[in-house]
Amino acid sequence: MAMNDIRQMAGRSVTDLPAPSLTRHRKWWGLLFVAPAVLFFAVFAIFPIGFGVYLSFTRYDLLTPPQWIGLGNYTGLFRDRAFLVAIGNTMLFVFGATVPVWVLSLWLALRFDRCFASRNIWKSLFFSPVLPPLVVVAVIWKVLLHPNGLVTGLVGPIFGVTEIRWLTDPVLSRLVMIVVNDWTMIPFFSMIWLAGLAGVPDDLRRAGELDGASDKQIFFLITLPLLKPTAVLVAALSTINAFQAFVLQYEMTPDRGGPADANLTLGLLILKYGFQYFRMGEAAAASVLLFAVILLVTAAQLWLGRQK
Amino acid sequence: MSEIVLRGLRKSFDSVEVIKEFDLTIADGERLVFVGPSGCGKSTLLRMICGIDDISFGRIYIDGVDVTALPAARRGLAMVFQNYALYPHMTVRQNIGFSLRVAGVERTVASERVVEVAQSLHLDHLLERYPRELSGGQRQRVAIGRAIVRQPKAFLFDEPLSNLDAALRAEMRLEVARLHSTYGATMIYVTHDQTEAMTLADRIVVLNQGRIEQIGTPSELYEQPANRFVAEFIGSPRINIVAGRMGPEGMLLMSGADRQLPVAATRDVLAVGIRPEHIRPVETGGHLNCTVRNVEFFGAESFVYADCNMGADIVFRTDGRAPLRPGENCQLLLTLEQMLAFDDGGKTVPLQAVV
Amino acid sequence: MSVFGSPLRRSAALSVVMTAVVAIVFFFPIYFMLVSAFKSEPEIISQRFSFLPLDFQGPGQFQRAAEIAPLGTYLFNSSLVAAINVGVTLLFSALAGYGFAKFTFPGRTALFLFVISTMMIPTQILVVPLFVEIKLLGWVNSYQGLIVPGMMNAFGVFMMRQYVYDIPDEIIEAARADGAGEIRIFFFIVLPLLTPALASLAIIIFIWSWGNFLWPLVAVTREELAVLATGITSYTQPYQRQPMWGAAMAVATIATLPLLVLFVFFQRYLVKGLTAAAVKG
Repeated sequence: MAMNDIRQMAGRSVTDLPAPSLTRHRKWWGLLFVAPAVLFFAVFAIFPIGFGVYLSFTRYDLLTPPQWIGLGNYTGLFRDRAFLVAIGNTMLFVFGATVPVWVLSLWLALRFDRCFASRNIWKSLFFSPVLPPLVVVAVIWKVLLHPNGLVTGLVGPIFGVTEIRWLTDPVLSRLVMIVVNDWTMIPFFSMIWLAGLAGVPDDLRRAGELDGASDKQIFFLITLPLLKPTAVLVAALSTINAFQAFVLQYEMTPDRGGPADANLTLGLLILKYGFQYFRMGEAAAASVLLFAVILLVTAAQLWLGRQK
Repeated sequence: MSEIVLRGLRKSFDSVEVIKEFDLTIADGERLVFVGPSGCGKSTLLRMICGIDDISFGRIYIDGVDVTALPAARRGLAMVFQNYALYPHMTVRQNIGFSLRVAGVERTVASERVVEVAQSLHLDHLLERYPRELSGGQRQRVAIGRAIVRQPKAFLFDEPLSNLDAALRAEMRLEVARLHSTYGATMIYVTHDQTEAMTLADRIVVLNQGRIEQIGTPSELYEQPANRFVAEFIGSPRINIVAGRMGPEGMLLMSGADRQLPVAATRDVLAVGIRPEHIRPVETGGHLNCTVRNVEFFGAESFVYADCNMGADIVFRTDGRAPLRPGENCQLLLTLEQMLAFDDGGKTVPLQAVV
Repeated sequence: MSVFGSPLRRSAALSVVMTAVVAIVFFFPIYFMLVSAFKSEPEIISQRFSFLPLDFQGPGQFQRAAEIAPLGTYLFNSSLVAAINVGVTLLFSALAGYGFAKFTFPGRTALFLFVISTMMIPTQILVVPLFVEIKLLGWVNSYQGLIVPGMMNAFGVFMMRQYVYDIPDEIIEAARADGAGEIRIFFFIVLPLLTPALASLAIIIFIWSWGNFLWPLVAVTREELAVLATGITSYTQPYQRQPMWGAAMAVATIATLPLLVLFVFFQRYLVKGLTAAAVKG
């Protein structure tokens, strides 16, 4: 019978051979599944980064081929008044778009974390500035901040004036950019704080109460330390966002960054150099510098977040 | 017929060998159970037979055909997974019918077969339910139904009852036994629970670290364990193991006891084993003196834990009404014919009564 | 006893009122936009505010918006871009998430890090080289140029991999044992199990795509390729014409409406999704 043959065949000699693998095709399937995403990012994210670094060492106007000029663009930027102004403007904006946002979004999140009547309705209203695209935010506020518009109507009578040049005054317009930015960012970051707060066990706060801690002590000694990852996240995200800011300035201020470059941020500068003056090399160099700053912030975030 | 032959199976992950040189023939219609502690390789072995995991070396034959190169779906085996692995987004009907749909079985034929299987498992009223709407036992039956519908040559079960509570587990054990008597198919069953193994198996394979410790019927394993590992693994409460050696007169001496027992071993002995039901408390003339430490009352019987000056406590079974109280002193009589002795390698050493 | 009887109660009530006032202040500009879309021009640029239009325009501002600029085209382009972004991101992310979570292959960890490292790269920094790249491809001022470079987001891969991890291996093994091929397993087992996660991801990607301003701004200059986000500037910064504030508010409303609808009907998903995207992104 066949069975016996097999038994004989199935001696040591057969079983010492490696068995055929059933899963050997599987790694190819895995590669196949990840291939579209990997290829996409190779072409439209990793390659452009390298390409951008290359461009930053060249002079390139889109018409004639790029010309290698070494660090010329970088040294040029630091001699460029507009670039230095943009750095100053960006730093000011970053300050205004981080510290107050951090404090106020936390404070408001704590208010909305409590239970009270029809809380969800108020919370929805409070979150609503997150919704419109940033350029729409700019348009709404541009109308509200018209020299003869509604905000002037509210504030003007206090100072006895009927026209306020919110967007064309160099000092006022910088302040306005920060306020408008914070108006959309505070609810967004409150959302993140609230998600963090939801992860703090209520028991711990109750236990603190039983231990006789005051509300303030409970917050600073129990809640906030537990929220450290969120705190670092909010700080890092708002900083990264602020460094890249340009939409509000682009849409709301005169001459896209005016008056007289008062609102020219690094983000706007890159756009201007690249797509107005077609100085791609300098635009790329500014991008590389901005990227370096953002990587630094990210590294700081990871380092701060790790300390636990 | 469906005889499954495993020849020289070996499996390594990286350089660690998890299955070492495995040979076994599973007879047609046999209920075989792999049992062993977690990590012993029993699940891996089952998955190798099923065709889910790769084999490093060796061959598998089903009905004389080498299936080593065939993917799971074409081996004609059906597996019931530990967590049922039901498709959560499919109804019971779709779950049971999935393999038929994949195989391209004609729709009316497939649906008839699904209903048939569902009826045999009393699932016919649940066909439109989703797995999350079913109880643990019902899910288990769907998983079995999914196996039956393929009309497999053999059923493979990977710890199928470990997620059920005790009462349901007993019920499902009967269900699995019934499944076997209805279909008569070969069954390979993996469990870490020796009770499940004892009650379900025609033959048990005890595995430890990728190696077979012993193969035998439940009673063989219980009464004649090949080594200390099997003796300790099978039986509940566990067998009592006490250090021991051969005394000066060639008779067995248990550590802590002051006199030799009238049994002799053919080889040197390191440990002695005696099951809880082979120890009896007596007024006088026992082999050991002890102090009762704790009594667990189960109704019909009690487990008594006693300190015999041997390091670990000795546990024995008594009648539930036995009047032993903690702190009491008594003597223990051992059924010497049932005693086991192990050498330094853990192997069982035959014992003989000394007259 | 009055509700405000005890001092404790009174301070609590006061705090609620304050919180409500804050909420209203934050919501007001949105309301202003919605109501201004139905007001007449002088009523919008006015130092007084009326809660309802005094001179109700009906759909007038929307019609005007469509006359001044190709509003229908903007809307179509925005929808097309968003639909393709969402579709491609969902498919590619689910595929890659499944590949990274359930298969082993050489270079898996490296490739995964490669993909998620791109989450840290802001468009702001890519915009110059990416523009040069599509210029070399001849894609400037084309739908490919507008859509392709932004049609995939690494966050999706990250998110899907997490969710695929939670699918028990046994379910996939059971499907293989049932005879299903790899493609069938993906489409009939894995994809359906990811549905809730895909819904969250779709909402996030839609919001990002719909609001994207920078890329459409540089990639296309032709009006028939503009999206709502860039098109809206033709009302506020028109070429040789006075700004049309009413029309701008109408377009702003249109651009916000889909997000508002998502917010009202899927607030949970949306808040969860945005928070998750921020935390992991």
